[in-house]
Amino acid sequence: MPWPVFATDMKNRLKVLRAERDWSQAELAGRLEVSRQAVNAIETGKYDPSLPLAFKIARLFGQPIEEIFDDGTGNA
Amino acid sequence: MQEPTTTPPGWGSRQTYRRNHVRRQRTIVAVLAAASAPFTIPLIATTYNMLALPDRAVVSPAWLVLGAWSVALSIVILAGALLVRGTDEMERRWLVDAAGVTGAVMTVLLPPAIFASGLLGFFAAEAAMAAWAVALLAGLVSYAVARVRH
Repeated sequence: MPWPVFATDMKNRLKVLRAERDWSQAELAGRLEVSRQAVNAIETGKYDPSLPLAFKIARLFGQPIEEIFDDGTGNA
Repeated sequence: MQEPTTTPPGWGSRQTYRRNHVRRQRTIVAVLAAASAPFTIPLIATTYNMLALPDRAVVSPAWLVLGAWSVALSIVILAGALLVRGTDEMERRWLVDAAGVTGAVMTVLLPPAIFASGLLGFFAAEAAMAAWAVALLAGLVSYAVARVRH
């Protein structure tokens, strides 16, 4: 297991949504007020964002949280 | 300063660049402050015979040493708080990890360093500061490795 591990089995569509808008990771990071590393870690599933950040992402893309994040239980 | 999608292209990238710049500056200030703070004591203590090198010892009031240490500590805390405010939630976790590494290394190094100082003819205070420098460096490496890995 990689260290440090902050992620679970959560999956997300962040990379797809970002690509649809032709945004770089830095562009998205600036709009979310986080570091580029945070965006990369979320996209690659190495890090699960906090609830406030998840809401911010959802608002930015104009979609419900469960449309962007999937907790892997099939309930999304 | 958040989002809207109506912002011009590149707006977010410029925000990221600015944010990185601020964070980098605050990191440098915080690390320098933390690294140099313990040296305030021997610096002032060269005029205080409790902690100083004996041949340079001059009696001076304890409040001078304690006052200098308080100021140094306040600067460290202020710099640390500014750094934390300039980081996002993931970077904050890295900072907590780095602080943990620093604490762990300090805990491991301090007792043998003080013991060895007696054997090797150093002052315990010098050994403690060397241990602090190594511990801080270990924390810094931990933080840097976490950043590079992402």
